[in-house]
Amino acid sequence: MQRPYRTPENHCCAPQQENNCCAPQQENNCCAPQPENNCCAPQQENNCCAPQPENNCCAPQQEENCCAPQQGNHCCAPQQENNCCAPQKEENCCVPRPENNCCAPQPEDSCCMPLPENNCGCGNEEVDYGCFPSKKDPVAGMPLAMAYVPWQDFKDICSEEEAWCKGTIFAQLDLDFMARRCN
Amino acid sequence: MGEMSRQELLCHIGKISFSMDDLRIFLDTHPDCSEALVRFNELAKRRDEHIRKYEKLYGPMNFYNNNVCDEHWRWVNAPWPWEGEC
Repeated sequence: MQRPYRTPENHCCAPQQENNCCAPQQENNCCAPQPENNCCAPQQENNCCAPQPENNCCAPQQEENCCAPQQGNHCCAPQQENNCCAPQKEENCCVPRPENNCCAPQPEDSCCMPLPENNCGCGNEEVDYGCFPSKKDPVAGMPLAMAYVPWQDFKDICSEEEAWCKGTIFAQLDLDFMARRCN
Repeated sequence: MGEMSRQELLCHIGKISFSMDDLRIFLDTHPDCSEALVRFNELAKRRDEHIRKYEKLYGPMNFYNNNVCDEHWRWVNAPWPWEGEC
C-alpha cells in the first residue's frame, strides 16, 4: 500500500482539489492551517471575507453604520437632498436658509445643527428686544456700523402756500421739533 | 392773474421759488421721477410768468438780464435795501 505523501506547501495530502485544499474539507471550505482572519483564500483587496455587504465594509460594522474612509462631508449616512448630515427637525429650526435649507449657524462642513431649545425668536412672545433689538429692526440683516436712510417717495405734495408755512413741500417731512428724543 | 402789488408779486415769486428749491433737492436723488419733473416744469413756467409780470410793472428782478439797461441803468430805480421795502 502506497503511503500518502504530504505536499510541502499547504500540508495537504494529494491529490489537491481546485481550491487548493486537501480532502476532507472542513465546514468553511478552508484548508488547514487557516489564516488569522478565518478567511479562505483568495482574499479581496480590502482584506475582507467574501461576500462583501453593499456598503463595501467589512464586518463588524460600526454603530453608526459607517465604514472608513468617510465621505467628503464627514457624514456616514447617505446625504439628504439638502446636503445636511443629521436629519433636520422642523420644530427646532427658525427660518430655513435658502442655500441649503439649514438653520443657522452652519458649521464649516455644511452640516446642519439643530438650534438651541427655542432661542430662535420665531413665534416667541417673550423676546428680549433690549438685548436683541435687531429682531424688530426693519434693516435687520444689513451690515453693522453703517447708517441707512430709507428712500423717500414722491407723494403728499403741498401747495406753494402750504409749503411756505411748513418749510417743505413734502408733508411727510413736516415734523414737529421736539428738542428731545422722540420715541 | 389779477393786479398784484409789488410786495404780493415778490412774495408769490418767493413761494414758487422755494417750492422749486425743495423739488430740486428731491430730483437730485430721484432724477427719473416723472411726476416730480412735471411738477418742477409747471412751477418753472409759473415763476417765469410772474417774473415777467413783475419786471413789466416794477423793473428788473436782477441785473443779469439785458432789460436792465437801455439808455439808463434801471437797476437804481428800485428801492435800496435801507429804504425798507425788501
